[in-house]
Amino acid sequence: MTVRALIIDDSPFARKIIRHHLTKLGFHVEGEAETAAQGLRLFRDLKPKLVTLDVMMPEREGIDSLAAFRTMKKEAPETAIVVVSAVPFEKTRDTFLNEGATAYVIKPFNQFSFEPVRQKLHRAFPAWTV
Amino acid sequence: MDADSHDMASNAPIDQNTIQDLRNEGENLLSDLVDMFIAEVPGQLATLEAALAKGDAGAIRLTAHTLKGTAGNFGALRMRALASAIEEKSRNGSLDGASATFVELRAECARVRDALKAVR
Repeated sequence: MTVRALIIDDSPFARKIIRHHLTKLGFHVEGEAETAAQGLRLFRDLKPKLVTLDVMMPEREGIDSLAAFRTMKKEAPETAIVVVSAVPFEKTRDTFLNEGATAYVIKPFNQFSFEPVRQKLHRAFPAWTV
Repeated sequence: MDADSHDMASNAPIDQNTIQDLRNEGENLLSDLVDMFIAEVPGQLATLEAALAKGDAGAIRLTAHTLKGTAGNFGALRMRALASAIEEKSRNGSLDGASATFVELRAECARVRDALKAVR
């Protein structure tokens, strides 16, 4: 099963690294967005099964990351959303996890960052094998 | 974070373990990221300098945050600390000393760029 993914992150460096890891894990990255608003549009257009969402993006067009997250979970609750953050604040992490985020990853990434994500995605996509 | 008080194991502009991790990923990830650094950072510095000249706290915070994130990808601790210091100043509403920190940041970015060119 090919799982289609969307990356929403304002850092081109982060997008590059996330794309690399997702591709390595066997996902097909169909789109990238650099704002939450752009990401929401691509989400509706591409209907990905997996989204990575940076929480620390500046608000654009009246939509910030949390608003985009809530909209995506409302419109497609089955979508796995991996939240990416540069700040390890427990409150922020708990907010997203309590509202249905699949995983919470802290930037900057290292060689261990994506292993717990891989394990959680295996549970989210039982038919997905890599 | 105060850049001068940041506890750094060495004065190296980039962390070699982080670089090795990126190199181990293969598929030109490291060299692509180095190319991105060379292409992106001068523009980010120019944006930050202009924002500082205007006293635009929002733009300062955003651009400094971006530079901090960029530094983190390479384990560039001093660059990260300097960008973080400017971000904090803008967040706290006091830009005293921010221009001086920017001068240090720009010099540090050049050090990081040269170090990255050597390892790509």
